[in-house]
Amino acid sequence: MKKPFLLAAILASSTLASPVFANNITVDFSLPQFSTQDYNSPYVAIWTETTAESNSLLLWHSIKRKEDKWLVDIRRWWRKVGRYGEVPADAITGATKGSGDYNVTLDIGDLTKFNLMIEVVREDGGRSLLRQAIDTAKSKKYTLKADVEVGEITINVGK
Amino acid sequence: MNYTAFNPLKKAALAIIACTLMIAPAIAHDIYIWPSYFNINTDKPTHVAVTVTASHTAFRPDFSMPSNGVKVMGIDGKQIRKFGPYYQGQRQSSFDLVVTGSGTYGLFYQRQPSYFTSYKIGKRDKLKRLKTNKIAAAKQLPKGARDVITRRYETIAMSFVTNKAPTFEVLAPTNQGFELITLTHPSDYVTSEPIKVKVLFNGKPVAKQTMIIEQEGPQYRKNPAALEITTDKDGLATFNLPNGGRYLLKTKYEKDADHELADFDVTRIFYAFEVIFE
Repeated sequence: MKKPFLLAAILASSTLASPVFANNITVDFSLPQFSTQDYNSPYVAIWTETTAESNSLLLWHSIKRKEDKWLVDIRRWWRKVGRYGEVPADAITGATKGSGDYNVTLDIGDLTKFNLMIEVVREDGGRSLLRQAIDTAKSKKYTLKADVEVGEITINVGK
Repeated sequence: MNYTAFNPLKKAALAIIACTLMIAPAIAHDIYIWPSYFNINTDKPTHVAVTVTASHTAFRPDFSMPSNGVKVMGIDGKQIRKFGPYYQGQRQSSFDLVVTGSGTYGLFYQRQPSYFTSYKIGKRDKLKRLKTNKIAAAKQLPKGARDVITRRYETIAMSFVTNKAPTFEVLAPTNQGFELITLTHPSDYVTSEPIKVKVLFNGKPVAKQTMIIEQEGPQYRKNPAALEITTDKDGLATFNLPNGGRYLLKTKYEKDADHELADFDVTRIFYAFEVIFE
């Protein structure tokens, strides 16, 4: 599904005289603390959705084994991106992280108008699915209210 | 990986033992075939537990079903004839679906046609039934039997399992008999989006077909009422389910029989699926 697009992008960039500059966004968020006997660090996925396609930007999950069968539990991410294959190399991937403040810089490529999706799922815990419509021409800063599994989120475009 | 090989002798022996113990489920029961996981993520071959049962309550096993009705369809849309050991208990049957590739597998249960002849008799119009076809019933009917009607029943239970990305081969219509086709892929049934299905008879749309959709666990809910929908002139029906969970869609199609063994042919379809809360 994404391969033809990738190929087209490579072909396009190779034929252009000037290189294509990828855009970044920074996302500030926190994972709240929970006082529970059964705390497991949450799975976190951040991705973009447009009517044409969806792309992973960040995935924190269990990396103890080569294969992670529980990725299905990041429900929307799995349905929109995960089930179609590998997370792209330029996305951030890594092990789950505990409660704390995080700041990540994510490569959105040449996207200017898209939905930024954030899904946080904790085993035996809650789940948050947040969506922010982003138009880089209109606004460079977006703030999302805190939810069950994630604190207030600030998104800055082009930083 | 504990990979179970198919053993036909063992299966036959089990089937014989099971048959002697079997309680025949009443024709009125809903028949279920459902997997323990509807969506999985695996690169290595794995198993998904499958339950086959007949019941009056959604997803509550009551009668086991024999293995000869089970039909497993691979991701290429072709039948997988070997599906490993089959356990038939009193209340449910089970086997493990072997998942070796990426895509959508089909789980079907098809019961061979059974015939029921009903008639009225006596001063009080007592309703009686014979488990025979029209020709056999004619020889057995008591004197004075009236309003004699024979129906032929066929039953199809179905469900789908998807590993990684969905595929569509197993969803394709065969254009034979009465069929329920899911136009929305089963792995895309989510609480925020409409689900679209189609009903066909011999490949032609069936209009005004009623379908009943029951959620699992009606015994635990304040309002256990099922959703009832009807197809439009193109045989299409669209519905939204606000609650995530497991559901059974059931529909019954009846038409005049075009053979001598019955007056009416009835096909019942039971489709077990999962709606993901998104």
